[in-house]
Amino acid sequence: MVDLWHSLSAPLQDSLLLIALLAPLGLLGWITIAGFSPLPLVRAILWRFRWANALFVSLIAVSVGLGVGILAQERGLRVGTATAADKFDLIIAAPGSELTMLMAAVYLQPSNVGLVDGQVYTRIAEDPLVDLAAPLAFGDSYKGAPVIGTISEFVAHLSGTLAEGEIWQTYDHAVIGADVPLSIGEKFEPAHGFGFAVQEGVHGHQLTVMGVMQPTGSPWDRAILVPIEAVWETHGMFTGHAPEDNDHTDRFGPPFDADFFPGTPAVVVRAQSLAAAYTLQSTFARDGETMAFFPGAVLAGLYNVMGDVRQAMSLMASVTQILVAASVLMGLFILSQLFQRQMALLQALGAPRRFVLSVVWLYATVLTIAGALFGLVVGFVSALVLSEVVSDRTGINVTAQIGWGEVHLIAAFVLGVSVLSLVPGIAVLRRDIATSLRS
Amino acid sequence: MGPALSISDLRVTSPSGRSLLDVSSLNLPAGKTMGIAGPSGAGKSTLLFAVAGLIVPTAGRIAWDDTVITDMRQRARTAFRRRSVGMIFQDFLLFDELGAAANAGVSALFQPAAKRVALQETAETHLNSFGLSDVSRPVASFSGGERQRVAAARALAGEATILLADEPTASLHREAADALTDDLLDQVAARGMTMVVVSHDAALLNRMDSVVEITDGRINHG
Ligand SMILES: Nc1ncnc2c1ncn2[C@@H]1O[C@H](COP(=O)(O)OP(=O)(O)OP(=O)(O)O)[C@@H](O)[C@H]1O
Ligand SMILES: [Mg+2]
Repeated sequence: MVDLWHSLSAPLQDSLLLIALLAPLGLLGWITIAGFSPLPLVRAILWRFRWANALFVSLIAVSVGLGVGILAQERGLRVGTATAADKFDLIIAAPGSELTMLMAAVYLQPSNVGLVDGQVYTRIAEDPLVDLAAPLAFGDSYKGAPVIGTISEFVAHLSGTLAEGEIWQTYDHAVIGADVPLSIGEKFEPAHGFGFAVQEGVHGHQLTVMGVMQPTGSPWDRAILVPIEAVWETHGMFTGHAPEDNDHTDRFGPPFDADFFPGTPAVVVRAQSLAAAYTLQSTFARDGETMAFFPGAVLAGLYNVMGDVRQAMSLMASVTQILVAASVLMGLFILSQLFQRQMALLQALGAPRRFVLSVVWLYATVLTIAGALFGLVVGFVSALVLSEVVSDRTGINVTAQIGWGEVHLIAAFVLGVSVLSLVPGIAVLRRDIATSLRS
Repeated sequence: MGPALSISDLRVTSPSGRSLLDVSSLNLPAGKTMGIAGPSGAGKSTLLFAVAGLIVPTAGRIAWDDTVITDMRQRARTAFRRRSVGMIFQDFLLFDELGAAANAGVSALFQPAAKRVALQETAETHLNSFGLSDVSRPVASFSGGERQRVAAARALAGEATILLADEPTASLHREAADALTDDLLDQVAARGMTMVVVSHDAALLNRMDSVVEITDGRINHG
């Protein structure tokens, strides 16, 4: 049985779970309603107490919406961060914190890290298993957009062909990410440092935008990419190439001369193959001078921790749902008080108890379903807004989507409340008919 | 033909222990009509509720023919009302959001499907004969007299053999009261119903086969 379940495809499992949650609801509805037509009375009650009902629906919508929003947001964040790291197969850097390096290299969150020197870089670049070894240089920015030095091959790796313009031809040229608010031909002067530490005009060095990359859904969309040689040069260092007399042409990219290589905090490596990536990782991880890690693996570890947090959150969400269900039950008791007299009248007119139960049950279930559907909308919109904010702050492309988890949560909630709403129905039936009629 | 009512040693006590009704014997032959008069608070409505099986007496026996409703559980009493009793309440008790037709035919919502169409048609026939033509407007906007007629149509819509009416003409002008009385009594006669009516309306009481007066929960046979 368990094996059979696991042999099913995920969407099939999800659909079956949904059916399993909705079937009891349908059965319950059939058992209470079959043979009766409570709808006209339910409609009358819905209309009569429309403000109380609207309040009730909003209460359910907000609480369901929060649960849905958090679940959708958490998933969006996971997918977004993973997508942003897609192009970063293997990172080799000076020994230190993998997470810090991941944040710096993939998500462009600047921090002080050690450098990989020329010898090591050359060893990486010349390894036959390496397809691309891109050095990075951080430290400058322009109006909040990080200016990152690298090689043109890495631009091609990130963007494929450029969306617009062309790659740099001199050290004064730059290529910008898709979301940088500059256009081709525009000149700008990067500042040293980033964020609060910016020192304007220290370099006194103007750059011209030559090309625009394709969108990548990562913080690199807001970065300005320049030849790494230009970063080194403006900081008064060698350019990675041996100086030659009377040489006025700018030289780009590998091979670099190890003696004139100022160092790079991180080398992004594309291996010849997946197997090659694992070999490289173990080679450079064991090397005392470097660490090598797969961003995907670090993220997976991170998601594991987040998963624990998520479990804690979903436990909290469940407790919240139970509390909401309890207050819904309370609300139903109060609402059913409002139409106690009409329900007594029905019995006075000879209505079977099951009919009265069907009116109360259908009424409560309509409210719950309406609240849950509104909650889905509320959750989706709040996840949309939250995603927008997160994307805006981090540059990571976070998209909010409603997934099966949320649908199941809602279906379970509706089922739970509709079972619970039999209780106020039964309570209505237990009260004395004559007393209710005279009240 | 409607059933005969027989009541013996009936005592109804309020939750606080006050005696509301104390009737040693009261009988109404099958298909006959009986008026109940008496001052306000005497226990007239309480008696009507008791014979409808809506309240459980502290002691005594109420039977409609062989059906001893004081021996029955609530479920059975409800089923008895569904089959046999048409009731007009003192304060009408309508569903304000529903129209006159939906109110008069409200039992159709829980009666067996086979009876529904006929029940709804009968309800509308009575509404028409009571002079109510606007049958879909919510009764919340109806006058007291119009509501009273809707309540009467509801009591007659089913196949009831017992008609229990609490002040059915109280909200009506003289002519309207007489017209409704005519219609009710026509129906009662045509269907052979047994009828108990609580009223202050002398014109209505005069047309009953018998009249009893209640004071302080006790019957003064008149
Ligand atoms: N559930 C109850 N608890 C306490 N007292 C009650 C209850 N029901 C009725 N009574 C009391 O019983 C008495 C009889 O009430 P009932 O409604 O039968 O009077 P009535 O004869 O119909 O009066 P009216 O002509 O004003 O309608 C009243 O004093 C009323 O207050
Ligand atoms: Mg009364």
